[in-house]
Amino acid sequence: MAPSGKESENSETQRGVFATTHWSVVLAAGDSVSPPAAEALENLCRTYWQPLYVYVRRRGYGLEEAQDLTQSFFALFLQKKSFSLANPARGRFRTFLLKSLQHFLTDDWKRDHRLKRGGGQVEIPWDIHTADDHYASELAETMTPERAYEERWAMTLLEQVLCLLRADYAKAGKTQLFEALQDFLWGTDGPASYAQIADGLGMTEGAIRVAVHRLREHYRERLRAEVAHTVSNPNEVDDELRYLIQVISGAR
Amino acid sequence: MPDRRACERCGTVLKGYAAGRLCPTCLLREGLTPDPRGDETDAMSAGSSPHVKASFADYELLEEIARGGMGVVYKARQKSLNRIVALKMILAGQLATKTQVERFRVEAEAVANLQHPNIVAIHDIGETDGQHYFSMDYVEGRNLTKVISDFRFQISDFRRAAGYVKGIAEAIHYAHQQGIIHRDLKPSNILIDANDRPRITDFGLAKRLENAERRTDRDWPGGGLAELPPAGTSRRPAGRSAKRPLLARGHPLSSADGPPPIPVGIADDAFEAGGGS
Repeated sequence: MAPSGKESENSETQRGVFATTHWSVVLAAGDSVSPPAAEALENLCRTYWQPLYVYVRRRGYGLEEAQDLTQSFFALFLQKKSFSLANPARGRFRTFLLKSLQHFLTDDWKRDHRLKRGGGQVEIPWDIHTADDHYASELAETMTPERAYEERWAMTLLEQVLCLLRADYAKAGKTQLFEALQDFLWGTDGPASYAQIADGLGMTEGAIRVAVHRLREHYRERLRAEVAHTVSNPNEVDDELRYLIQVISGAR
Repeated sequence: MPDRRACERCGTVLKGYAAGRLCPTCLLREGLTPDPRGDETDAMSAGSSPHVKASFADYELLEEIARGGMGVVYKARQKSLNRIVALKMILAGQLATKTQVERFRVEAEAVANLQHPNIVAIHDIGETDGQHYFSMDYVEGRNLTKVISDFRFQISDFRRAAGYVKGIAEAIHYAHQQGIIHRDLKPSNILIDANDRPRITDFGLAKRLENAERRTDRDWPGGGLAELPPAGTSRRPAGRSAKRPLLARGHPLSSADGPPPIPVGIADDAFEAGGGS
């Protein structure tokens, strides 16, 4: 029988998946300034800068101005130790980050703070061309900035998970296996059959089936762990996943 | 040009960002805690309904997308044509009363006669094992209630709202010309598609004009009280019933919290300029 939500929560807590997630560390720091909290927040920002950039672009700013504003926001966000403003009542990192950006983009904040960045602060590494490609290719002209932010957030999450998964396989010397099997991640047949892949990799078909099963298991663990990084409570992982499914499938 | 393929499994439109064959919706679903009942499907899927199977007639039910007092709507894949549709069924299934079945068929037949870009079109009407159903366009998007909730009441929002009103009014006018009165026009029954086009749906309370002329002097005009146009709140003689939804055409946008949806000047400009539709 599949585990209930409570059992799932307990097992995840026991495995230590949740105890060390970034957003829970930030929230646990409360008003105190702690290096782990600062590092956790910086890690989150490094992962999820693209949704913010897309949001700023969708608000009507040009490429260079959006880049400048997003970078300025992160610099100020981290410099001000913004985690001291965060508490569990503020909800998930996704919504907290967007609300913080919206606040930043108000005229007062821009006027007061926009030019204060620089000087030993953390710079988010940019791949501006990729970000702008996303901006151009993903968004219907009429999509609201908030919707654009959430869509890119979901896609950034998946890209991060697949990136980590690929790195795990590379570390184990199995990059070729990952490349061959990744199309099977969501559970239906890929373009090539198990037999064809087995033949290409010099493995048996049974071994490929086992490898696909393990890949899916590992992917699922990585996905839930990554979502857990952005929520304040293990109970929220499934809710966050359902929310993002609705975003991506257009139900929201 | 963005790629607009759809996932073969769930129907999600795969835009340019979808890497290879991987569907983001399916990838996210893989992370959900399995249903404790042991079903392969998650809580949003058709397996949660007591009245239907995951596969029904020529359709594979993918997920429940709407539920009302009488009907339930699923996102489904029509297997023979390999296309994604919205499939509506009577909630009571085989236990539906004669009256429920009759109303269901009235809705299906009413919409089947309407071919308009701002009305969700019906593809197929049928019955399998006592379960009545009809399939229609699957509209990728949100309903007007949710779209309005994102409005920031900026100029661009007003222009969009004016475009919606224009499209809705044209569709309702067309329906009246065909003798069909919707009678339940409200934001949740207006879907905004991927091209920002309003699409009227849920003709569950619709009537043909000749029937309305015979009966509306006695019948309740239908729909929620809050959505009724002024004329609909009184028991008017039969001949005036067709005017009610037209009087209410701006109303679906007026029900959102906040200032009036379209300042008069902007609405006039938008209509003169084509309304952005």
